[in-house]
Amino acid sequence: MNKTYFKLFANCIIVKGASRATICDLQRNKFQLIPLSLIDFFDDKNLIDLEKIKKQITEDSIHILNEYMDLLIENEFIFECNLKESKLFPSLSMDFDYPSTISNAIIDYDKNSNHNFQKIIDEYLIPTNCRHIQFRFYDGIELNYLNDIIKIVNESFIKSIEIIVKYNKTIPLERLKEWVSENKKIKSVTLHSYSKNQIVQEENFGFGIIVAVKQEINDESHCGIVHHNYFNVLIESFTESQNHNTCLNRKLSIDKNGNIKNCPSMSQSFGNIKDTTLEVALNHKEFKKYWNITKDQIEVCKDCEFRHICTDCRAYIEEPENQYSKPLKCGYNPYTNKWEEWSVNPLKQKAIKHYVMQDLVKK
Amino acid sequence: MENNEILKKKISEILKKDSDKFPFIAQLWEMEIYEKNLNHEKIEKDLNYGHFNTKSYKSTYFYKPISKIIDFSKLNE
Repeated sequence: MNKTYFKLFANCIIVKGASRATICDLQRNKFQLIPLSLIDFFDDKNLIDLEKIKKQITEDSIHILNEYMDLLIENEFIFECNLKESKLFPSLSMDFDYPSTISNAIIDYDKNSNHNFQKIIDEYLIPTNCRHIQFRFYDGIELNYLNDIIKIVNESFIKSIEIIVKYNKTIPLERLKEWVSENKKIKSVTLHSYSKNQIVQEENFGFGIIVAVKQEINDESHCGIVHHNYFNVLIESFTESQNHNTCLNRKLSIDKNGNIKNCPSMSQSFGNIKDTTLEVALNHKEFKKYWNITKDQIEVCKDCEFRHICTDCRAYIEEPENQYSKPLKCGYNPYTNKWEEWSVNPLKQKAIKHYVMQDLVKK
Repeated sequence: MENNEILKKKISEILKKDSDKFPFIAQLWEMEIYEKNLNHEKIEKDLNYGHFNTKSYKSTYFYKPISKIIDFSKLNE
């Protein structure tokens, strides 16, 4: 008679942390926290031999085993099979590739900026096959100005744009809703410095979201926040995380002064759009410096059960001299499993001072 | 509708012949012809094909957060 085993589905990946683990379901885009003791049930082929385990544990522990099995079965993380059948389910490839040199871009803008958006899109983004842009306006701008930008986007092969802009009371929310509905490539508009936090318009197949937030965003130093709402359980980001940096890989940014950077929050610039070509910037030996720093190499993050669903930050780190130190704005401790406010952590005060963020953290 | 199909065939022939301008796979691209109602009198036909230089509104969004500038911890305040 064929012995029965339970096999972990190939799209469900266990990520072990220091004191607990996650099962990341890359097909259903969700994760489940599990105790470390549950991982030991699986052998190196991700099989559970229930009969063998039952023989190894005491009778008192049987109900715990049953609870664990119920959790795995109810969430459809495992399925029943025999040894021969289990070989028909190979593990998922963790290779990552993306059909573009640059996959996403950030363009920052404030009242002193003077970007030529047509030039940026035509000369810096289209040639790299970049199709997703985030525009961040630190000051209020007119809807006509945004409309000029969206016209360029609509006439290009850019697929989606996100807009973060200071709330401007001259643009009625109803007019903004109409405008967003007319322009199908707008994934989201976030109005910052608004009087309250509000969802202005719900998503429509993932597009056309308008939210307003009280948070005042006056420069790029506000970026780099690590929060569980930014977790992303997708095969693309999960596989990218195995070999690349989840924030900086294939990212190009134009800061508010027109400087070409990997990230607008980083000090290193690779030229200015006024006088530097894309080729020169991209071929600079340091442009891709952070692209392959993975979470498995970063201190503390390497012990975190969320490391492959989290987006990293290398611009603001706990030890500015150590490029492998933990993101400054992460308040999660994988050794205690607690989230705490990062800005009041005494160990981070030196770095906060280094990045001149004292005023920002007071807010 | 029938005219659109004829148009698609013609374009496909052009893509096939003009191999210097388009990748070899171009002849197999899926095409989408749609009509843009510019105003009540004028209707313009527009064409999207494959994913090469497409201006299609059939869009997808990026698979991960592009930046992390919104502070979610303050949204409940």
